Amino acid sequence: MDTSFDITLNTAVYAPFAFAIIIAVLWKAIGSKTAAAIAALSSGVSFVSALAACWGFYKLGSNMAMFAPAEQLYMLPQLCLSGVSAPMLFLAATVSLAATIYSLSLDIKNAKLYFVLLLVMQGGLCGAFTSANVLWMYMFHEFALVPTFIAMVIWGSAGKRMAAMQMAIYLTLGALVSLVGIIAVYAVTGAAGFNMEAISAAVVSKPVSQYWQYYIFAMLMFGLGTLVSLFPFYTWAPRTYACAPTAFAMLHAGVLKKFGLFMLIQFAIPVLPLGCADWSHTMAVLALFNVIYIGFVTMAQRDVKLMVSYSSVGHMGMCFLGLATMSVLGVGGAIIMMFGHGLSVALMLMLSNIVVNRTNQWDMMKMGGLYKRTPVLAGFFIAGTMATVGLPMFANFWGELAILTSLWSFSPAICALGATGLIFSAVYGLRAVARIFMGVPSGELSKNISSIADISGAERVAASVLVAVLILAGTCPGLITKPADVLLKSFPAYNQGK
Amino acid sequence: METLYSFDWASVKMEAALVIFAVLALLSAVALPRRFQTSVSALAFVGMYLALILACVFADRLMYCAYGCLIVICALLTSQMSFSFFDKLGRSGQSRNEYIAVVMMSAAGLILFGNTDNMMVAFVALECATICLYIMAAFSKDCASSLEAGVKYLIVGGFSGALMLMGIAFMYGAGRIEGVDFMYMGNFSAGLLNGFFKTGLVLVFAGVFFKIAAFPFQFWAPDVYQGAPTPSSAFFAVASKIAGVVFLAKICAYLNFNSADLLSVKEDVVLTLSVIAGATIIVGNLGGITQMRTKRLLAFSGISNAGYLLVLIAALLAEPSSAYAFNTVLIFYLGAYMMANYALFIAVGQFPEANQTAQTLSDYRGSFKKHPVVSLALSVNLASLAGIPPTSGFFAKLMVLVLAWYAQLYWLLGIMVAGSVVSIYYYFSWIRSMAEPEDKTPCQFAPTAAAKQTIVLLAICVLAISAAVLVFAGAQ
Amino acid sequence: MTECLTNFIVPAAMLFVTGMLGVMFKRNMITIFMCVEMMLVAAMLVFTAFASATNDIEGGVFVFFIIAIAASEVAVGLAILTRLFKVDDTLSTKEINTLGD
Repeated sequence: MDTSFDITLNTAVYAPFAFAIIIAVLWKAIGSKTAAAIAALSSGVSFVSALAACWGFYKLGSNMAMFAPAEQLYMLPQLCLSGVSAPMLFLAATVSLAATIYSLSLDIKNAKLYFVLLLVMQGGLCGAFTSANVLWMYMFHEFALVPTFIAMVIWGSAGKRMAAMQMAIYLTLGALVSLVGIIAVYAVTGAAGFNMEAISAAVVSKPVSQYWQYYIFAMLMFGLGTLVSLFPFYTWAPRTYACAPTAFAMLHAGVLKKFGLFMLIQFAIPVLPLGCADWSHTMAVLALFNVIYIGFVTMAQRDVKLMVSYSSVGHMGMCFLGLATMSVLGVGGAIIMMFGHGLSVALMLMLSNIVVNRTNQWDMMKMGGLYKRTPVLAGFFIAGTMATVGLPMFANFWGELAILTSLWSFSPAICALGATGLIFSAVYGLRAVARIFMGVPSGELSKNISSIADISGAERVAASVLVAVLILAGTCPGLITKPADVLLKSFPAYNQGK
Repeated sequence: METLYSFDWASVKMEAALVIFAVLALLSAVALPRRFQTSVSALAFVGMYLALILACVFADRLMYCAYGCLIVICALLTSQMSFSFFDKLGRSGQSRNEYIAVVMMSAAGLILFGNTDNMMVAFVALECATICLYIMAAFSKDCASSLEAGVKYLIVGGFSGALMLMGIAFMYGAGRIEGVDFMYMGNFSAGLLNGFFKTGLVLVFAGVFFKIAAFPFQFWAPDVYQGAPTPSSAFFAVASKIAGVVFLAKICAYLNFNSADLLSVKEDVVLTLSVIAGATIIVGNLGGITQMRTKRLLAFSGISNAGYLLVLIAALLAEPSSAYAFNTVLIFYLGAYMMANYALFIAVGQFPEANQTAQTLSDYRGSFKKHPVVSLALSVNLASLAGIPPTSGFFAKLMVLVLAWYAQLYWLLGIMVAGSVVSIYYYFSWIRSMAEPEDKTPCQFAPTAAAKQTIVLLAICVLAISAAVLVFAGAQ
Repeated sequence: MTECLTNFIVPAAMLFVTGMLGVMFKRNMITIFMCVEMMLVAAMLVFTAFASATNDIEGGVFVFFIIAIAASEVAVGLAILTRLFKVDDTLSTKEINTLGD
């Protein structure tokens, strides 16, 4: 690989850690404004290098190997990019940039600690997707998880004690169960190390027996499924996103949730195809519960933040449906959906936090008529809602289209039921827009409505970044699908389906 | 015939150094007036450092050296903790020096207990160490809870020693009948067919299970850890557990089930050990969930760690071919456990009053604000106990999981994973209490400079050792 | 030989079980401590029985070790118990329970 790719990839992942160490070392010397500036600089650097790394990867075209490794930097873990991890890395970098810029506009106590935790989480997220070593993926995931817990305990809103504990226990349980699955794969295949290449080579030379595949895939599916809030292990998600400080919620819902799906696509299914085939119908049924049951629950929500959280749980169901088809089209659609959903849920969480802060209300029924006071905010909110619904021109559209198309050949009944997910998201999305922005402001709100300011500078920048990338991916989905196709076609597991 | 001169003194260099300096320190403490007491403490510390140096420089068998060093480090840390403890009690330097001498003698006994191949020597060494531990538990003579803890430990320790002795008696008898010397551990595999021997072995194991606080003999641990002075609790929690586990591991390494008719015996033994390990993990973790008092919490954490170590021993029994990896993993796990636990016990002791029997988690509120560095270090140590990467506790648990998988102990693996997840609840409760703002009373947590340095140093070691493991594993 | 052995081991086992039951169910600290000593004596008896049944002196030597250990344990134990009585004014396990949740 040429050196520019190595440099950009390593910078994208390790820059946030380096800047976090800088803030920690200069703790006494700098003030919160300086710390915020350093964090913004770090996110910018990481974003630009991630962009360059992904562009460099994309230019490889059909020459790209399955995993494009980067040179190892001293003793730090080796990184690599593949068709699945490149969009995830870019997603992580984008949402990190947006989250950091949004944090600049907030008034935070203990701002230095906040930014250190934010940067550590960003580094962990970027590293989790690009690590070449499966064990390091798990460790980076923990690097991203522990700051969320600490942040929730310190800056969370009401109900944070229970939510933080629940999140920590569920996610660690999921991570540990999947770790046992990883160890099982390592032990059963007799692979030389925990590297992706070593494990793929070992699987090719000595495929895992069907008996083992059944049980190991079950462990990986349920463990990683807990991380992605698959039914019935989703109860940690809504409260976590409602109580966590917004930047961390954006990073968690937008990026960290996708880690489970990423591991399934890149690691679990290629290594254990027979196991996935055994479990695919169960996975599809559980995913349908996510879509339909959680869809109903989302429609019943009055708290705008809870509504957004539940909707993200529902959309993960759609991604799992794509995974269950085990076809290039379905999984490719899931990848685009992960990308698009990550951006749109981050956008919606940020905007709903802005709305809640401005109106001092969490209840959508008590809002209304904000359109006149905050037209720009309304514009962004409608854009986010349209993206969630799956309007063409946003990335989610391509994802849902591909998933539903591949579901049709997998099982027409499941496809029809899955398509109702579109209806649910349209209903609750548009209802939220109507309740918050249209109509007449309700009693309490109408007293304070003249003091509500429109969306401010930093918030605008953050929202625009997210919307811009959404539209970019929506208009040029080839940027994501071409590398993803190359990768997926190279795995024999994915050519079983259509 | 062996004489005083032909005896292999080099093999007991650590114990000899510790005992000689302990006796010297004890005599000097009693004889010398007050102003010399600090020098007497220095003498005791010289003895402990000498034992460490002797072990490392003249290392013959790696396992013996590593185990001995672990116990001496425990003794060093306990002695350091005793300085602030006795200052708060307002007792003279002489009391403190007597305490340090007792700690050193106990450490010598434990090292001999873990290193010996002869059952009788093991029993004598264990009793010697345990008697010193009784003294350590009851050292706060004026404090009712300390005396109560001492009495409880006395009864439990006496009971377990008697059980173990009965076991050894039966093993001796079996040896006399068979014509083999069963006092020497190397002959154990020959005895597995003899009824007396098996009964004896079961009783010995029961005695050691009392020592490491495994199910069903774990009920004494929370009370004794809570009542005893904090330096003693730390020594119980770490050193006696290390000694008990290494002794069990030694016996299990010598048990060879290779002949065909012993396979069913092996299945039974592995099953029993797995059940005990699983029950210990469950009891330890469930007990810790509702616990608000810090010392009892640490006791339950110790019980669940005893369970994880028993998983490791069951894996050794089930899959004897992993013996080389087993020793490394055992020492690594015990080292990680020692560092994290000592940091926490040091922190428990850093409050204004000497007696921490009633200390609860809410006493730590506001620590992050007042002492951010120490609180961060404590969080790292709590994360190591919980098994969060990238601390060494995580790697230790990971290695135990891998060994358990190779030994095909799947149910036990599941229980261990579930136990680790549950344990996150009470470890993270501690971190959460530290992060919460102060209630009505200001935070009393006031670590001395020495304590701060030690806690931070232990946290750095926890991370540095895991970094070394990663580098070592990555370089392969 | 076995008849000779049984003559000693069965009483030893009975002593041991009596001691064990005493430790578990008696309330006075001194009595409990005496029962622990009884268990040690039972073990000593087993040692002696096996030694004499197989004409070996090693078991008898072990008994001396055990006596020495039991003596030191008693010394320390009684010191703790005396101090406990001085502070708490009672030796009953029912009344000594400051520890616990």
